[in-house]
Amino acid sequence: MAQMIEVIPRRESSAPTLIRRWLNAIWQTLSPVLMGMLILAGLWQVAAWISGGTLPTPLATASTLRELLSDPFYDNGPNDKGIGIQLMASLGRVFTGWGIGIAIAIPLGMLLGSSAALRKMLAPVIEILRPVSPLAWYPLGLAVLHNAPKAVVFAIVITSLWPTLVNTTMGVQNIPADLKAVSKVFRFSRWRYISKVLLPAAFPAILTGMRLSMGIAWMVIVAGEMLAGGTGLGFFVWDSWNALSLERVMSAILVIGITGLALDRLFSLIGQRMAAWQEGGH
Amino acid sequence: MAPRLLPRTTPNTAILPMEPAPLLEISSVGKNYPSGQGQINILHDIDLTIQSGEFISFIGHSGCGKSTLLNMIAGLTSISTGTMLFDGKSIAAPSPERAMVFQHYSLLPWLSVYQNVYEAVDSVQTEMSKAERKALTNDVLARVGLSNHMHKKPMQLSGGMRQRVAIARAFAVHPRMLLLDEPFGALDALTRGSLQEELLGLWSGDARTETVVMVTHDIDEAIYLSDRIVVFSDGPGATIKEVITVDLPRPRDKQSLMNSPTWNNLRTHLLLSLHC
Repeated sequence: MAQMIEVIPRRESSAPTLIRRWLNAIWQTLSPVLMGMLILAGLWQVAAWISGGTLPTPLATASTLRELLSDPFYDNGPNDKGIGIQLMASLGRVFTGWGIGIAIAIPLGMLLGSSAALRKMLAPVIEILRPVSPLAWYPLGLAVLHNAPKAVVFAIVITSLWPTLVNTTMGVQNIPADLKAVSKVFRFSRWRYISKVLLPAAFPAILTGMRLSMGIAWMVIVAGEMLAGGTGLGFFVWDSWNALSLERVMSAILVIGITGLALDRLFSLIGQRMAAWQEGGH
Repeated sequence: MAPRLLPRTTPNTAILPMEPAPLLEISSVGKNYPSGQGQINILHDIDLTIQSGEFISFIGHSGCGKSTLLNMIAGLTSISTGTMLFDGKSIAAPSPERAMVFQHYSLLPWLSVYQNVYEAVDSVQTEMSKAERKALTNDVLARVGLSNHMHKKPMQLSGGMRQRVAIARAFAVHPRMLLLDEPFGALDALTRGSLQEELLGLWSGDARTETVVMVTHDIDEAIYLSDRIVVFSDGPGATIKEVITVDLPRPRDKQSLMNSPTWNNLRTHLLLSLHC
């Protein structure tokens, strides 16, 4: 007991100790990340040495990246735009294509999840089309839409379709039988069933699908824009390669990676919020 | 789709001229499930007539098909053979007239307690005004003592409280027959006892819900609540072993009943019946 009494006053820390504790906590979480980054930079540096100057060093890339980010939105005509403009162009296409894709995939997945007959009919079609690289659809989009940026968006639509479709179907298929029974016993209308049972029950799976769709769409956009040209991060990468500036290529890779990470984090944050809300939090 | 047998438009009252038309008439009902190359028989030759106003318990070992029979009465599972008439009409689909309380509560976890009941009321009580539906929802929740927990989500409630919500939801649609599938099986003994009392209170206090059919594996629960206890033989291929009438006056007082000879005789009889 005496020991416990001694401990209690210590818990009321003074302001400096609190700050120190805070800094300590931040360091605890950040230090492994920093270690990882340092290892990556080290390996990169070694690779740059081995390549004999072909690959840019991390430091050279950092200075290029700083330069690119210092004025991200400059616009000196069609072939010379800031990286911010390129990023916005890519994001715009990804969100448009992804939005159209999931707007098709979610209702279709709800139908497929609810009907075994429909699943049997469409599963082979989906299984054949799903493994096709979305870029294979690019010429088709080009032929129909007569517009390279629109054809890229079309390829993104196709890309975004599959993960959301498959996950929505699974989510709807796995709605607990008890909840379906409840809606039958209490004679829920179709709309009541969809809004109060089906959508909330399948929501986590739908969100997972949307997240996977977004991840793949973000990967495909770079390749698509390399083909399409004009604007976008993919075009920026290809244009930098043509200008033999690997520092710019590496900088663009970093921007692409960090944006992809941010998009993914956004979805997991939404998912956590929704899960907390479903369990009665806020 | 199971073959629909000819519905009998007039209930067969010739056999028991003194009895009123039964609420539920089960004749030679059986259930088979496809399994591999053949079929597995779950239930066969079920004959049971339930009158309006009765409290019936189904008791038997796990896997004897008592829940299957309850689901068939609910219209959630199709019958393979025989006929099942509710109020003279063949049971074709689930209906709020035969509202069900499920073993695992089956509340919608994303809706509040109030919304869980209100969605059912709103769906079924179509002739009521919105204000009446709201008043009914508040009223049933008050009757199960959940007025102070209306805005909580099911996850925030204890098992007993969740089952109270499910019972309130079922009573709120004014079913003619209430079906309960092992409603208190997952609850501790104390909670189970008070929920049994509340169920009896709701049943005797509501003239619209006259008839209750409950699946249980608790002998004391079956005796305390029921007018008749239907004992099932072991499955697969189960059937009704016997139907025991519980001749105890209502309202029943659990404490004094548990020492009465009738109770003990019934208990011994049921124990032997279930263990042979």
